[in-house]
Amino acid sequence: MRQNKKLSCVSLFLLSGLIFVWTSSVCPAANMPSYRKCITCHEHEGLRQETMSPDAHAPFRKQQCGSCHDPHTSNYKFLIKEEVGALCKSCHTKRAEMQEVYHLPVEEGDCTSCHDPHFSKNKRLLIAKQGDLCFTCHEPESIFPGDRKHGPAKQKQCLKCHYPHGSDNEWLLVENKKKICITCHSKDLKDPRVIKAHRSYPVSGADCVSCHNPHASDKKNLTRKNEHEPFKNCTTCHNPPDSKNPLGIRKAGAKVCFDCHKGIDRDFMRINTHIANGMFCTNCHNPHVSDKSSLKKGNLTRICLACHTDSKWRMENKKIKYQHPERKKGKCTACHDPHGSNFRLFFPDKEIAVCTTCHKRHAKFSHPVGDETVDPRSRRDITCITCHDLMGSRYEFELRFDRGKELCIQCHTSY
Amino acid sequence: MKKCNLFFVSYKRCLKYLLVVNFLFLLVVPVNASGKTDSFSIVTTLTSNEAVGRLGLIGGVLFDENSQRLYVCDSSNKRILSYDSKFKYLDALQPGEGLNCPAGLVRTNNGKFIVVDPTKKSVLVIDTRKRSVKPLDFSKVPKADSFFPGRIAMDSADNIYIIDRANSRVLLFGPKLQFNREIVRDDTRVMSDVKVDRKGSIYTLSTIEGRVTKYDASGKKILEFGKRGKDKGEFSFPVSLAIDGKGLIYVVDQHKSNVMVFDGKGKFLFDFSRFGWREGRLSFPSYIFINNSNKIFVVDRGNSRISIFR
Repeated sequence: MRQNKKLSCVSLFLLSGLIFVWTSSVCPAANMPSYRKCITCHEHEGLRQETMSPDAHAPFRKQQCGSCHDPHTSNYKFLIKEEVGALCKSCHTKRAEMQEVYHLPVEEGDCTSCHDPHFSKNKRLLIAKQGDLCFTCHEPESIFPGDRKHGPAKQKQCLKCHYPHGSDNEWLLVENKKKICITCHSKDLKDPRVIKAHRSYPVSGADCVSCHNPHASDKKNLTRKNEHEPFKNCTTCHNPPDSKNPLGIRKAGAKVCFDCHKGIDRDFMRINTHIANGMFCTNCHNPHVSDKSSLKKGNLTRICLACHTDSKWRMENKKIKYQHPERKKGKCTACHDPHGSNFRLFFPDKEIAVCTTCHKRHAKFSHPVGDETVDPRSRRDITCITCHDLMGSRYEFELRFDRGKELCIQCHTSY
Repeated sequence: MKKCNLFFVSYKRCLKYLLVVNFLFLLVVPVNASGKTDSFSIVTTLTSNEAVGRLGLIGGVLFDENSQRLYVCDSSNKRILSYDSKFKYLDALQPGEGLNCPAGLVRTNNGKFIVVDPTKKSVLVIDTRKRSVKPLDFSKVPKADSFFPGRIAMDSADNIYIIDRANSRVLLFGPKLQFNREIVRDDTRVMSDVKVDRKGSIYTLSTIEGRVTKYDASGKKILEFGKRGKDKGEFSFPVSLAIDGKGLIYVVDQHKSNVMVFDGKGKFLFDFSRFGWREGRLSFPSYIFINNSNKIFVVDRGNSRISIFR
């Protein structure tokens, strides 16, 4: 009998413990003690009034300050319990689901760059009105390269086309880029004016934004700024519109480009080249129109890092503090020839020659470099990149080692 | 006394267990880690020196089993270097205007060099006996006008496999250097390297997708593996592959500066070497070749040398 009592006591204790663990894991705020005392000191910040608002963040409204803050000590600003991103995700688990593309603040866990964790007069606790908020980071000059604006963009309805957190589509689009325009413009495809504008070529299923700027342009129909010369005469490159394969290219592979861009093919007749299957020029260039110079498909970083994903990972490495200024600007072509090269790592010339085009002083005065020098470790000539890692380093001047400790003794071992 | 005795027994037992564990360790470890970093020793490193001069941008390498010579494409210096079986420098083949930039080569059983020259967009046949340099006949190759040569490989029957980078295909040429057929075609990816194992299976590598694809001798796809990623066994920037006598697949990762080894089914086993300048380390390696005696030749492009492992 006594034993039974003991057993039931133990099981009751265990059960209550389990219930406690379960409830606290479901929502850490559920078993919070009262934090009403916080308001007695923090009243000057107007917190009391804000907690009364029905639009306030739920734990804040219920004055469960301890769900996010530690009242005693913390390693984080404002005594929050964890880093902002991790803290938010502990309740907002849906936001933690894996998606292909993330908005940068989401990726960096910087939720408070858009949301106020306590209270906001705007919907969804946004720190500014939905239309204005996006433009606090995305400069209007770059988003609107012209005066003619697309309807939703004009009304600052960014969320009509983009998700604010993450998406499985490029540019955080709410729909695949080949389908998104059709969600509103499906009837336009049958409009004789649209058919005529596309010179009777079939455009259903096409990537509209490759030629039309979805935000703004100075050109009619929001076509992008720079036109490829034969753009108005489609048959220069394509089969006639009434042929069996109207969008087919008239010549094999990149020959259709090289026939006009004479001499460019020689850029690809090198040891290192970016030659790929078919009309590979269009991997980086838009054959119709573009807002970028040389009809590039986008920013250089976007183009280059689409394939060089490991370089992207490296650029995102937070341990790398020092970067070459051109790399910071995303100007890969400042040091690399994007077509082809007979030199290491797609450099347009010998390593020292490339560096000294900008670093002129170093051409005259530096540690001995060049053909006459020998790196005792590898037995090859010493160049700038023997000591500098221009893709990013943890050390000043993008040095490969700490110059106060290990750099020089790599070779000067007797010191 | 009893305690002491007990202690003595347990100590003895411990010693026994230790011995058994050590014995098992010795038995098991060499099987599982038969090729780990430590067991790959560097044989030698071929660098610039007075005899060779300054090495330029190194392309492909080939160990010719018939002549027991190593041939190295010193691409930017427009020459092919030859070394003897002990890797002593012998001579440089510089055919002059006929060859501008040797980027890769194979050698047929009758001693002809088949050399890829990307700067001429052609594949050349160098006959050292007749002292002639002629382009390989592409007249029967479809889409020959858009052909752009990539890496080259040869099987034991003297069949030559050439990557056409601009058309994502592997072209097969017979022992008499006549075009046979397009043996592999994959429009979805750019092929970076091709190799043929001793059984005649063809292996291709795609850098951007980080995929190794194995085809049988008829060109039918039989295996595909690999992806790009940050984890162990995943590729950063794979650029070249080779197959050893046991059927293990070696992939050179240029940006990880190492060699990753997979079994015949594509399961990652281990990797060896890492970024560095000293002997045995690699800096942006670009090519790998394995000879019949399983010596591994890695073109260490960043260090301007060839590292030979065993």
